[in-house]
Amino acid sequence: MSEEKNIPESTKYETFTQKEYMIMKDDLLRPIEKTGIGGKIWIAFLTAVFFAGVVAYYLQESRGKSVTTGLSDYTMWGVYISNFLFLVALSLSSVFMSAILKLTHFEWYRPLSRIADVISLSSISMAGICIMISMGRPDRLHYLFLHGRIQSPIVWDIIVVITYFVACVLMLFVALIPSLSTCKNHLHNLPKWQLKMYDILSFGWKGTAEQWKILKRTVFILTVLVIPLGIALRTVSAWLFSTTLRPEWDSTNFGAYFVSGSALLTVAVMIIAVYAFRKIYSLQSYLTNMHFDKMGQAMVLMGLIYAYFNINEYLVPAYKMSGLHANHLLNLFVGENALFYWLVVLFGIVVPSVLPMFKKLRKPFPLTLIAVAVLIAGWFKFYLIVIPGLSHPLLPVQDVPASWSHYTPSLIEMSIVSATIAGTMLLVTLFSKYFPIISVWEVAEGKLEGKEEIINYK
Amino acid sequence: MKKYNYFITMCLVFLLTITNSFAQEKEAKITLTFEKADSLNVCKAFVTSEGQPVIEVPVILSVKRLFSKLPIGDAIATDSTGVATFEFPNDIPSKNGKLTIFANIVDDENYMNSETSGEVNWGTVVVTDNSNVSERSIAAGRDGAPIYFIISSLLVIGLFWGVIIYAVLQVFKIKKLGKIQE
Amino acid sequence: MRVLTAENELVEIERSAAKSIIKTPAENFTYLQKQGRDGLAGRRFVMVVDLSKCRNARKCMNACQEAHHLRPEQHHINVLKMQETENTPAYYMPKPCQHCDNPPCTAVCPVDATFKRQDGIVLIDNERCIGCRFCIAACPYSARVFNWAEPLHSHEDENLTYNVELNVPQRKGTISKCLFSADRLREGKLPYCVSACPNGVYWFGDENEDAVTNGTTKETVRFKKLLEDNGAYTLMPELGTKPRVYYLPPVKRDFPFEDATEAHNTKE
Repeated sequence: MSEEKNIPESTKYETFTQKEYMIMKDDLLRPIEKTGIGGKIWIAFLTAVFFAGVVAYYLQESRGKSVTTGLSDYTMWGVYISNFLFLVALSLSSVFMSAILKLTHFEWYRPLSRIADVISLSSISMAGICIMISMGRPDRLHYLFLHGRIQSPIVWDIIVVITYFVACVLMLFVALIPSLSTCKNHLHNLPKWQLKMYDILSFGWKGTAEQWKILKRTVFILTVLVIPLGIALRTVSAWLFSTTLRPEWDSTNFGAYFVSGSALLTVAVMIIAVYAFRKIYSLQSYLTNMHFDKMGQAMVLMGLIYAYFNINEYLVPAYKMSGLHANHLLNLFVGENALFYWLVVLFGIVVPSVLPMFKKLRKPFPLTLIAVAVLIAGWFKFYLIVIPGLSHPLLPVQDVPASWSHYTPSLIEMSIVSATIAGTMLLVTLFSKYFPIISVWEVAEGKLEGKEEIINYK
Repeated sequence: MKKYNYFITMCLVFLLTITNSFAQEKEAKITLTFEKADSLNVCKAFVTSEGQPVIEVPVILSVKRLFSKLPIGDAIATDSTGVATFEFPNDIPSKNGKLTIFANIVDDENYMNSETSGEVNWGTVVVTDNSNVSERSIAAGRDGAPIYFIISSLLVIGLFWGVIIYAVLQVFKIKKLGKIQE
Repeated sequence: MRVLTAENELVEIERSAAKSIIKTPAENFTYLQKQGRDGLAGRRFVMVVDLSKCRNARKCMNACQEAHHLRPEQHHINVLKMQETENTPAYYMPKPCQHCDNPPCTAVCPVDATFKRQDGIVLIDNERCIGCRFCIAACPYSARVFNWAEPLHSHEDENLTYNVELNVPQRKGTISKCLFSADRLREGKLPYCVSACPNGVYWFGDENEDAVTNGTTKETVRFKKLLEDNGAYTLMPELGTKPRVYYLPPVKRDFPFEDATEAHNTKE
């Protein structure tokens, strides 16, 4: 513990009193130190679901997709692809619930940023796995790198996913560096490997003025980087559809439509995650009612923007009812998928845009319920974008088995999908068990300014 | 006895018809000549049989194509000198201008089927238009991406990864500073 | 001795100049791959389908499925019953891959597994395909199928060297589609479907030669004249795919339209 004697007057860093620091440290490191019985059951449950998915995948590949999935030559993309879109939507948490708020100086982002970054990283990892499961020849994965064509939207998708993954890792672990010194120094009852891990990942952090300068600059650059990268990611996965000639997907609206949907879903998933952490780790003083109030308002904003894009996407073609779109639109509005579609519209668009306008509903518990409904409706929305689009090709479907006219996901497909979602939650939970889930220095930076540095988090 | 007579008669009649039919079909030879008359391509087929020119026999002219022969116009009967004159169109495409022309006598009652061919440079040269395959486009192979596409993609990817690499280098700088402190 | 060149020309060479080549399976495979990707020089293959003659005999489909070891529900060529509106007449339309000059399928393939070669034929290399099925999403003519299960005859075909021009042996987890019978074209023969049709529906030929041959009557006519005389059209030209299959409208049919009495290939 050295006292810096030669800091110029102009450079002041985030500081807090010893007392405040000790309280914060205890609160935030407690989840790492011990795991209750509930936590253990939760982790075991998620691991079991994940392994069920692994087994399901093995069955799928050994028995062949013809018997284990509901896929056919016309609906050749199913829940794996819609689930992939869902997970990529969640992975933009970094962008909407961390980076944008940071850059626009919405100070209430501070306790949320690490949670958002973890959700992003876990989500994009599982999205990458999900898309590989859909491949017919996963043994030829390396061909994508050996023989890849730059003109193919799938190659763009892979490049952006990998780039975004790396950016997320950096974003998360660079901002983590100061916290890791704290963990290393204050947690003594942990396994040796864990302490070693903190040591390595803290990259020789001493809390010097120089190091702080570099760290803040790097975090700022990554924050700026992640925004266009995240939006590019979402847009490129929308282009997997709008670069085809199918009338259901041949829309100039698709990129922006998907980005706005993703914004709404990230707010929803953040609300749920924040509520869970707040409740389970007793972090009420950090994840306050104010945060829920603000997130609820964000939900209304994103909901309204999403509603706007939906009106452009569905109601304008409905006005024309061109022969190309009629089958698909009528199917959604009054046909086979009508009930499904209107429930999704209600819970996915109307509810998030209207309900959180009421202050009472921006309280933690009601808002979380709304967020759960929005998230589930969001998952089904992607199903409705991908699958009905495939059932009505330009030329008639004839001379094929009757079951091909209607896609139903099989048990194996749903197990694998559940496994990816469980995997995301598992990664987030495990992270919170090994690293502090709230970024101490960012909270402190916002809380207290102007005091001399008296301690540098050792 | 009557039955036996009838049988012999039928055999004889049968044999007679066969020999007759064979005897009726004589061998015909066709010779092709190619000449140009007033910017028109004229092909003459001179048909002879046993040294004598053959009159009023329809000859079919065709040109060789990939899967079978393309007939040119209708069958033209040989005139009094045994020559069938064909006007040959000058817009038949060919890879190098050369055409293989066939003259056939087919299913004639007096003469057996015969065929002759000859090569002549009457084709219009067609160079295959493979622009859609050979030029760079979005739909082309891996090596055929448009230049502007390759450059802009590499620029954007380079930009993003450049920032990422910079961030990584900064982290190692932090590490180095930490070591110096000690 | 006389030998056949790659351009289907018969040439005479000295017997001593010929070397007998014995290829290993790997060499054979490489050879087939190269010739498959290169294609036949100087050709531009086109198909003309005369809709006034199609009576849903489906011999074309049978010949194709047999040659390419396809399951009954997998169609490289499919005879569709078409009826655009209530008042316009119904007709049968055979629909092969259109071998577009601006193919949406080759544009989206991530690994260059599907490609258009110099003679215009779009092929699939099933030793390269990763089974992402993006090309099925991109094709507006629904011309592609996927091997969801182990392909038919995969056991018997185990030791065959893969020929990209025939797409046999089929591979599980890869795409398959009409190849304009590239293997037959290399031998100077008409495609399987064209030869199998009993009703004179198909004409096939080289646009550069301006000649197409009928599969049933073996009659050859000038290609442009056939299109002009019959008011030919292509499928969905507004999509900009530039297909190479031309359709002659179903006029002056010498038989009435008969609805199919049995549903085909609907067994699970």
